[in-house]
Amino acid sequence: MLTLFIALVLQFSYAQEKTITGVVLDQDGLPLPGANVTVKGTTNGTQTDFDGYYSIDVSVGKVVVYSFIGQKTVEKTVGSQNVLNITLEQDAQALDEVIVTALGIEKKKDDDLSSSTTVNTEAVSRAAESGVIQSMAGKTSGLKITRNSGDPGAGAYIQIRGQNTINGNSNPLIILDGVPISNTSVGGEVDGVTQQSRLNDINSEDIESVTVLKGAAAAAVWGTGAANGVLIIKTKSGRTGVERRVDVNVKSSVIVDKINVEFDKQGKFGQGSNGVWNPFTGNSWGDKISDRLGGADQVTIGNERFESETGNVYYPITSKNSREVYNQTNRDQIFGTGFTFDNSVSVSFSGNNSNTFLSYSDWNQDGIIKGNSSYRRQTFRINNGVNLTDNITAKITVGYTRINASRIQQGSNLAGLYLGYLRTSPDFDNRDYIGTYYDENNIPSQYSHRGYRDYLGSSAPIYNNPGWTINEQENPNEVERFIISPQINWQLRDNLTLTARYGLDYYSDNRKTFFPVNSAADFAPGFYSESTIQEKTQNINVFLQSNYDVSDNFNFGWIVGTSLDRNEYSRLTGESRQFTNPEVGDLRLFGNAETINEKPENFKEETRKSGAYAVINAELFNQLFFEFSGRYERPSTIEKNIFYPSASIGWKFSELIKENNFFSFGKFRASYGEVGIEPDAYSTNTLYSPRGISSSWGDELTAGAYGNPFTRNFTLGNSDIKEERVKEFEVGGDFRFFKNAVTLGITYYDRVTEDAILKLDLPSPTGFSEVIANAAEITNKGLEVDLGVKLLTEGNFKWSMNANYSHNRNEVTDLSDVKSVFLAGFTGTSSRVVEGEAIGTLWGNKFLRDESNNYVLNEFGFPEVSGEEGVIGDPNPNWIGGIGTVFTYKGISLSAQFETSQGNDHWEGTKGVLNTFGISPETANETLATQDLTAANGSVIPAGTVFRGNIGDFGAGPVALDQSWYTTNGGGFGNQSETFISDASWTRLRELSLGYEFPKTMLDKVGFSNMSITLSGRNLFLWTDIEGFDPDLNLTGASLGRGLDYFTNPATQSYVFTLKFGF
Amino acid sequence: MKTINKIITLCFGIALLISCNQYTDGINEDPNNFQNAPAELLIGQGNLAVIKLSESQSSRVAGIWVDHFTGSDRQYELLQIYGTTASDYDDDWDDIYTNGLAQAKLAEDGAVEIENPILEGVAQIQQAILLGEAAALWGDVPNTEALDNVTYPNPNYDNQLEVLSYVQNLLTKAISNLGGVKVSDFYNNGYVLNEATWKEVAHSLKARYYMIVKNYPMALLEAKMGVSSPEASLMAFHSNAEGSKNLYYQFQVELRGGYLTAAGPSHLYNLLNGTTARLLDTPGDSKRLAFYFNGTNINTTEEGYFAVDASFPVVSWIETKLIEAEAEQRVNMGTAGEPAFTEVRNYLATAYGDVFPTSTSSGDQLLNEILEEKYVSLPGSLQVFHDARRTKNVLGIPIKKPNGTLLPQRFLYPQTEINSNDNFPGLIDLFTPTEVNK
Repeated sequence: MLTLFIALVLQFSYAQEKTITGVVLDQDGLPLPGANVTVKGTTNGTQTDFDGYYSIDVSVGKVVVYSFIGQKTVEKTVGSQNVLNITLEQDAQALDEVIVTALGIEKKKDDDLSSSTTVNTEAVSRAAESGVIQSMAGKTSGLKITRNSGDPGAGAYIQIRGQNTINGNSNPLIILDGVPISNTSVGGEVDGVTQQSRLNDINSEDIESVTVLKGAAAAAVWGTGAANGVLIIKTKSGRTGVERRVDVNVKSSVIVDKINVEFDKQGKFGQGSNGVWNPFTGNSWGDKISDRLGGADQVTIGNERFESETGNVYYPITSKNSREVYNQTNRDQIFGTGFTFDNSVSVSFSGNNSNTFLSYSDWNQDGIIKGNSSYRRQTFRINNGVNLTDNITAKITVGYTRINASRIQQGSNLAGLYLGYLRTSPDFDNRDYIGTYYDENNIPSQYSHRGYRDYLGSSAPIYNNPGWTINEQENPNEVERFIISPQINWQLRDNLTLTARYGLDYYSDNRKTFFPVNSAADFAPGFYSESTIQEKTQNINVFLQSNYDVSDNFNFGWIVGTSLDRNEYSRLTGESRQFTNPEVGDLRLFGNAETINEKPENFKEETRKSGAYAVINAELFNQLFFEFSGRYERPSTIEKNIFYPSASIGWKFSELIKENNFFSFGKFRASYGEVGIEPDAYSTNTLYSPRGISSSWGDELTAGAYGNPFTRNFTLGNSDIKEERVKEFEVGGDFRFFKNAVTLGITYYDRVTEDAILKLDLPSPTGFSEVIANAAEITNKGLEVDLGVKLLTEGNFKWSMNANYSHNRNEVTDLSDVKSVFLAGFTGTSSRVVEGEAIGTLWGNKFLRDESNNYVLNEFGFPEVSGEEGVIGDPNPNWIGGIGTVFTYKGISLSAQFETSQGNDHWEGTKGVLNTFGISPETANETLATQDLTAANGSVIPAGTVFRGNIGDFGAGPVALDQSWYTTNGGGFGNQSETFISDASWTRLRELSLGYEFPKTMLDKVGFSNMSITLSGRNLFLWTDIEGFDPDLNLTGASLGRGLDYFTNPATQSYVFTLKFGF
Repeated sequence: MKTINKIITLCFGIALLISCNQYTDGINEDPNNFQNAPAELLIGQGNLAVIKLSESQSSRVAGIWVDHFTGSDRQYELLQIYGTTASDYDDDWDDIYTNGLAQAKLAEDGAVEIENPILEGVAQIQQAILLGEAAALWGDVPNTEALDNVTYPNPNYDNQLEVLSYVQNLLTKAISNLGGVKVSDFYNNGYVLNEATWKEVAHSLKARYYMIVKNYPMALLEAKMGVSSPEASLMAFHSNAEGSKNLYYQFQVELRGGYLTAAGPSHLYNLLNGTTARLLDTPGDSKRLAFYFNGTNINTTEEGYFAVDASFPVVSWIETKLIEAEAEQRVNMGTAGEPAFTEVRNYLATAYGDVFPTSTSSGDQLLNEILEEKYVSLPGSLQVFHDARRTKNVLGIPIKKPNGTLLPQRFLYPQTEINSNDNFPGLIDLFTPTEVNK
């Protein structure tokens, strides 16, 4: 009976179903774990295991569907066979197919009407940069990324389609997982330390994709704040609707950094002036080192001396005999190899109703500058999604970042690194920088600071010894940041979804600055300051979304939403000068100074915005697309409501063309959009506060020391201030050829910023120095081209290339009759806004010229200086571009990424000053006067004499360029800067990477799902005419002032070894 | 429509209404600055502007040009040979108008409103010094169209002589407003609390600006009513506290060591150490040398003229007395200037505890001795620069520009005016005298 029953059951089963097994492979014959295997029209389904195997019960005649993300789906009808081995080919379109809209909604790129581009995880991760943004350099058109410095954790300057604005920052709006986050960069002066960008707080490994919304129309729903473009960043998550599975991924990298370009220093002449050794001057215009006697210096051994911490004793020198040159030693004192250990692990849980992504990362970097230069970033992330009911899904993303960094003082800063190091005379050894000074009466002064302008350390030297800068001074900062964004999607009806999002981004950035007693300049009596910056950005965004498929040839959708934004920023700073007890040890505190020398300061700012928006889109005959959007809003900084419209149209004309081998896809698109930038908070009134007075050299009388008198501020309030508005028209097309092997995107845009806000200079006799006004008009016109070519796609060997080109012409078309407005830089040379020129134009004094553009010469044959300043250069490139290529052979991949910037000028401020000091190699040339030569001071060098310097000719015959020229108008402290403006075009090998992915078959045995090793180099080669520094650097950081070099900390090149594995 | 749709529509409607109204109202009031300030609080800033003008960059530049000092490092090496451009003057020009005149005028207007003549008078003195020095340094400067941005967004420049005559009017009004009040009793932020009275200071200033226009009889009259004793000089107060240190000290010790020295050596240095003979032999100058200079550095030690807490003269008794001596000598000739000159020499003998012989000269010789004494007694004073130009360099201050023939005759108009003022009259060459010195 039992046997019969079993037999019946078996018989019955056999008639209905059978078990199909098999393996699912990709185009390379590698197993695909996690591929979906479902029976069409049923809920019956499974997934392949780690080895790609599956097993499913299915009736004969049914259709089994095999699918995997990024691969073409395959369907098989079940026949007599019991084993079905399936190969899923890579879907050529799939990888770049999806883009993310301003509201975070995914959309097929082919249906999109904007020029937005998405950069995927792989490209972001491959770059092995600490910041997301840096890793995107050169990879897409219309996006210009400039590093500020090679310092660990340094921020970058991001510019999408040229400069749109003058006031405030030019950074794009950052939308992380649907909500705006802060991208504030506080700092960017000509001195101090390099600041971080808050965008670097996100771990690159957590990022799934970054979409760049370049056009105004695409960004229009964000209205005010979106005028500089929008970056939409999406973090990773697990998946729902699949069987439970856990994936663990581990990445471990070691990065070795080296300095990439350095200034050369002459090693022929010693410290001094006019050919005479002098140990107290800053100049290296002294005696010829090789002409010295040699041997040890002759000294006076007595009480007066310096005993260094290392035990060396220095006595007053009576005769400089030593021929030693210390350029290399002094360099090695401060620069070394930087090491970074970047480790991260992520775990993603995928399940039927919920998914979770957990990650932890630790980026631990020691910079190329020895001493206190480091950056450590730890991040932790939980992203969790859950299906609450059939209709409601909830998602929360939580990120936590903690940063501990130490920075080094740079720039125009007597206590800065490069300034002290580069100016040091070649015959001075910097290594013993700290010790005890004993005066004539043998009275010791501990912690004395020895530098090249005071070799016995008798008082604080005029410039820091670089050893002091990197070891004794401290500039730590500590950042803690939380970003929390919960989101609910409620499917109200089949075609109606409600999305509600809240975003909270909060960070505190604690910065400390410590100058011990005996640091250079006004820090000599000791200085400590501590500043805590807090910023909270909140956003609520609720929208309804609906789609109607009216017929096969017509469908449309709409979105209506409302959003509230609130930003609160505060800064609390304390400052303590002139330490009462100079021996502070490890203590960093206030109270160690007289009350008058302690200064608290606070600053608060709050802005809010409320808005409502609507988007309507329609599709006709599957080829014509329309989209209209509008945003109505009220920022708290303006006293009226404003409206931003946009409209887009697209035509997928390839629908009309029959399938062929040449032309695969084509779409034309055109759009118009408006977005805005709000004025700074509190611009509407003229305000009063205590001010004090100081000269541009820094000597000052503070209000607090003199009864705290008030002033009416010099900035005139403007109650009529309104938003500045960017209006952009954009046309373009997306095309694919040769069965999608070649993709081409072209966009032309023409944008104008009307009513651009700027601090308009007022003639000071009005009693005001500036007014915040809608006073400028700026245009940006440009062309962007992106090309992708898959040269080889079949077989084991694959080769693809991509290239991009961007040209942008920026012009300030109106500046309300003001000649120029200062952005950043110095009194003599600055980056400015000038009518009829591009934003950031370099501005300074020039030589005087006559009508035929010849120099006006003085009686010695040297050019006279023009009293008035004018345009001397343009730091904006004529075009930028990138070319990348990837080869793969089985598991081996080789990729390279080149980047170029052409036609950008740079001010070589450092070079100019090194001329003045007699440090530049060109100032150490020894030249034979072939005839009597007049020098800049009128003295005559007789024919036949060898002199230090060069022969020049400004139009009145040869003249001698000697110390009297280089220390005046031939050097950086001269009254002209035009000769230090140079074409800083560059091309670089941004990345080179060789990777190997271990085959699945090998990994299965050890239980891994994937494993790869990659060896890559970053910034390995640089081709440029600029000497001494990388023209990708900028002194004033992420500020609008561009193209300035003045003792900026150097850039790096890196070698990266990465191991990744997953199980 | 389904109920749920109605609810949703309603919610959205409400949200939209709320969003555009209350959410953003009242947020844009600055929590960091005051919306107003009383006139008594603004008056102090004018004093700071006067001190800065007297003692900071403009004083250093003038000091280099009259060869009190040597510009011996970086940018100052060019100033040393009169190499300078418009942007070098942005800072001083802007501060005269924005930090100084604008605040002083507001204080004056406020004083009229609250009927406080003393506040009004002090505000007038501040304006007189700032405008007077501006006219002396630059020549034509904005005055009648200044400080009224609504009516005159691009102020025209007034004739130098008219500005200086306006300055006299201001001082006349100030004198009638002030009575005999002491500086130490009213609105003295920035000044040493001594015997100075605002009224005497105003008379000294009248004398100073009459000198500049070469109206010697009036200068003489006013000088006699001016600062009446060394203890009644208007002196800038300094101390060792951050923000109140002597500005020369800050520049030399804390900011720009090596820029400003006497290493040239300077004319002043040579006069004091005897390398160049004084017109009136002065043995006491060796002490004065040690007071002014420390080696070839300016003396920033505790005992020095530029010590961290050394007060700096703004309107001094010595200046007033030497104006009196010079004016008297020019008006009445012979040995008329001698009494006032002798007072100064006797004071110096006491102050330095050394020998400062009195003069027995007469005529031009005595006149030049008086001028040289002013040259030596007021290091870094703008007045010495004014004198040098007014007298066509009668003292023979060395011309430091290679092959040059003239001292600089003015400050250049600033780049900020070129940039922003539609009515800017155009740059004038450094060696073109201002109208009063033509």
